[in-house]
Amino acid sequence: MDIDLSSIFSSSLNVLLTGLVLGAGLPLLFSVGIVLADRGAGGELADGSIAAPNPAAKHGARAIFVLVALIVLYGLLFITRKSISHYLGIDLPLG
Amino acid sequence: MTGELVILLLLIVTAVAFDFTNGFHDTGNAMATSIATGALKPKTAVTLSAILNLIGGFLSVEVAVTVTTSVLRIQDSDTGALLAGLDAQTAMFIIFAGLVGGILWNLATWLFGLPSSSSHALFGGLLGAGLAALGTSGINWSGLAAKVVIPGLLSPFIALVIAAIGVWLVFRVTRRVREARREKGFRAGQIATASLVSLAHGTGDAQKTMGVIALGMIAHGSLTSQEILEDGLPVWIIVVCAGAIALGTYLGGWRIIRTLGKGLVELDSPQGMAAEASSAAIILTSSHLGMALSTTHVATGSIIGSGVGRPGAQVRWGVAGRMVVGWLMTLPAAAIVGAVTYFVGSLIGGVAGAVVIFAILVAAAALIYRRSQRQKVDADNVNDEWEGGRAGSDAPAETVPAPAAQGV
Repeated sequence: MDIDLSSIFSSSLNVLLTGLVLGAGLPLLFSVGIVLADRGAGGELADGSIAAPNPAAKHGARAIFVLVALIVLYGLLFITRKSISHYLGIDLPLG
Repeated sequence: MTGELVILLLLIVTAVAFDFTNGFHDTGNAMATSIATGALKPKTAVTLSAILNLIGGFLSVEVAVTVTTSVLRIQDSDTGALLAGLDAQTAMFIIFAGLVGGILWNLATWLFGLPSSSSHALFGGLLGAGLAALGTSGINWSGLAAKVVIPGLLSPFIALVIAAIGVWLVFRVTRRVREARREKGFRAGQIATASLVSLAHGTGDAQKTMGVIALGMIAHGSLTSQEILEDGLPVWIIVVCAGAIALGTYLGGWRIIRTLGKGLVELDSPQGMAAEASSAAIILTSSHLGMALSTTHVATGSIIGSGVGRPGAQVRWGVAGRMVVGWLMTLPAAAIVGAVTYFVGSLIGGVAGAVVIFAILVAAAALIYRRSQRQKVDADNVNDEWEGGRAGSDAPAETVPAPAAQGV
């Protein structure tokens, strides 16, 4: 039996690190968008005070959501890159 | 019709049946969180997931013809052709018996609402059938350890850590956001990430069955690995497999969805999104990074992680523990069924053997299905309170007998 433990270890570490960046980083980014959207909307806050709408925060939130959507789109193209190449003959320069 | 063609046809029907169980067994991996948090209505969720699995199945252009090579030594690991010295009937019986082991384990775990890996069930079945047919020399032990067992042990922990950190960050950042806005915002994100998981599932898992069918046909001699290399798979295989996994997904493994969505952790939508984001990220990148992980192990790890990482949330470790026991039993239990099936089939031999195996499979499946009807879990009660364990039951969850007692 011949098992390459070091390669298993290094691929696990790779999965963990990539997973952290994408799997935890993306929700983090999305959360910042949610916070900005909440600020941007204004209105009555949890403590009862009234906040004015904040257009800058609103734009920031929109930019973040677009960015997240682009990353998800990238993910979609990444899963389908081989099929796209197969059916459409386009080789996407992804990973 | 020659005898071998009959065996091949039964094998193909069984493979499609496996694909179908694979579909409903794994609906929860993508959709349990969205269903539990109310982001999607149960029926909408399974429909969405089914469509994405169907699309995913059609996207599978690179076929895993070498699907058995990680556990068995019956195929050339490059071309997928059968090894010399292995006759067609033995090879077909190994695949056939392996599928039976996989299906029955999938059904038994479904009955008990245990999410267990369909790939492990298939590998377990093949392992047992291979051992019974060829002895220990027919098994690729290092592949089994490196590609199935070790990743299976590691993946839930990796997913747990990532989801826990993700959830912690999410709650930390959004702690001052108004509850209603937070819930609504994360629902959108949750649906998007769950969709990615569904699509990736269709691409990966439908492919396995396609590979198994292709292998059966290669063994029979009606297809060569050369033809697949040049022209791709016959289109009907893709259509049938994508359709079967989608249909299975649509029917929804409600028992498993319930365990994943309600049993482990009480979920809300930020947790759901973090869990699915973690699952999607791992499933999409792991095969690229040289470690193909089971969707089920990853999804379960992520959901538990979303409970671990959220301050004040509670994980039902008893439920998680029962799941882990199920996982550990998957390979050996499916292997035993696979081996017994192979023995029965080869003892009788030929077409009669294949027909008997098939009949046993149908009878066992019918029995498990009938048993499941005593305590139905469906779209209506899938989100009931977990207290007492399973939906429609007054019995405490702890009295549920071990899965091995049934269907094996």
